[in-house]
This record gives sequence, structure tokens and C-alpha cells, in this order.
Amino acid sequence: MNAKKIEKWILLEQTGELSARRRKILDACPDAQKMREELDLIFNAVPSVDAEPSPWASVRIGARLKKERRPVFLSVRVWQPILALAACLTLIVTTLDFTPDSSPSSVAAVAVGEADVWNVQFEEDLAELEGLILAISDAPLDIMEM
Amino acid sequence: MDVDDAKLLADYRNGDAEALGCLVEKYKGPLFGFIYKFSEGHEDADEVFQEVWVRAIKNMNRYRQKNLLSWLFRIAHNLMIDRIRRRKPMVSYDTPATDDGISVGEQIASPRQGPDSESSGRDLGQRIEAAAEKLPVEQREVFWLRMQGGLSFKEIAKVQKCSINTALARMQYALSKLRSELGDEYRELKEAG
Repeated sequence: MNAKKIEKWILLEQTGELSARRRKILDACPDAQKMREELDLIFNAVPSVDAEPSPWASVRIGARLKKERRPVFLSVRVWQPILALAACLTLIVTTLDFTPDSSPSSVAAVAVGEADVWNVQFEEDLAELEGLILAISDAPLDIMEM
Repeated sequence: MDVDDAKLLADYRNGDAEALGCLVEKYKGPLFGFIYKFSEGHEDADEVFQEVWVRAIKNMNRYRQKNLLSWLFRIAHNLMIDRIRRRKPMVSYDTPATDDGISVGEQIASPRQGPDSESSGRDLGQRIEAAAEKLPVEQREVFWLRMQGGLSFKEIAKVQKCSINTALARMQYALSKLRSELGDEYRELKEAG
């Protein structure tokens, strides 16, 4: 096993992240103990920071949080599902086709519908006209002769 | 999340201000120590420390990690990256920083230390600290997250958003550079050890 690998495994061993199988291999390695001692020398010499946050740090944090606290209705948690729903609705609405259907069959259907309406009106007007003619003339008149 | 941490957070949300104090007290050691290493003095570190907690509590709904300390370190990492990026353009490497015309770049690159640190250079701890200062940010961060924060490599990888292997490699590079920076002193220590 090379020195880099030994060092890597020892670093993992120190944090409890080395598997039991690898630990056994490491323990059997003659260079591992030497490397452990060497790393311990460096790590033990690293000075720890004695400085501490100011004693009123938590009070200040609390005050800032109180000051910056936003109403619930403005929080992202509330707005996220609403925005997602609005986006979905927008997508549906924009993809729907609102232009009139111009296919031949639909044009014909509309034309037939309009023709039916026209015929009824025409029949009524014709009957009224016939009545008027009959009223002003003595002889009955066949409308179709006109 | 730790049951105690979850309870303390819930208590704080229910208006118990002391619960926040307990949480801050619980993690102040490793967190402040780590922040201190990347700050410009105690006051600056104190400011960052407070900002980390404010951001952590404000964004607690986005928190999905099991370990609160890792989450705090992640926020501290983001804050420090932002600060380093903002700080960078302020000083040019070519800017003459001293009266004798030595540029900032030369000062940083120089293995020679100032008279103050030279006199105290006998202390291995201080030498290590000074050598660590010269490491690239990612390596320095891994080194202090491990040494000061006491984080595992899995946690460090989460903080830096990289693989465990990358975090380990950064630590190994940092160690190798520290060894070469310490030079003779390290060899003497090794032989004595």
C-alpha cells in the first residue's frame, strides 16, 4: 500500500469513516503506525481558537430575527404552491385554441343552421304577404305565380 | 436533526428566546473557531457568526440535513465565499503596498515572514497556522473544517458540495503543503517523535 493511500485511510479512520475491513488491512500494514504518529504530531500542534463570540451574540441574533421576521403570507413556503398553480393555469389557458374552427364540416353545419333560421322567417313573411294580397284583392292568389 | 436541536428550535419558534441562546451556546465553539480563521479579527468574526445564525433560522424550512452543525457550516461557507469574492478585486497583486515598493503579490508569495511572526515562529502551532494561511481557499477550508470544526469528511463534502474523495484529496494536498512549508522544523519534529 502506498503512502498516499495509507494517509487517506488514516484520515478516514480518525473520523470514524473507515470500514472495518479496511481498518484490518491498515492495522496489518507496517507503515500505518508510523504515519499515524506523524499525523498526530501535526494535528496535536494545530492551535485551537480560544476566541469566543461576544456574550450578547444570541441576544443580537434574536433581535435581528425579530426585526426581520416576515408575515407568514409573504413567505416562500406559502407562495410556492400558489405560484406553481398559477403557472399551470397560465400554461393551460395559453395552450387552448380559442380561434373558430374553420373546417368544411363546421362551416356547412353553421350554414345549415343559418338556412333553417332564414327559411322560417321567410315562410312567416311570405304568409303575411299572402294575407295582405288576399285582403286587397278579391281573387285568391297563388304566391308561387308572383 | 438532533432531537434536542429540533426541540430547541421549536421552543424558540414558540417564543422561548432562551432556546436560541442554548443552541448558539451549544455550537459556538467549532463554528466561531472556523469563522474566526477566515475573518479579519474578532469583531468581523462576530458579525459573520451572527449572520450565519440569522440565515440558518430564517431558512430553516429549506434545511434537510440531519446535522445542524453541518448546515451552519454550509451557510458559513457560502458567506465566506461571497466575502472572499467581494474582497478580491479590492487589492491588485501589482499594487505597491509598502514604502520600499514590495507589491502585495510578492508579500503573499514570499515564504519569509514578518519580524513579529519570525520571532514567534519557534512555536510550531503558529508556524502551522501561518503555513495554512498560504493554502488555496478550498484546501484551507477543508483543513479548518476538519481541525477546528471537527467535521467528518462526509460532512465536509456536503459543506463544499463535492465528493468525499475530493474533500480527502484537498486535505492531503493541504497536509503535503504544510509539511513542505514547515521544512526542517517538521523533519526535526518527526525524528524527535
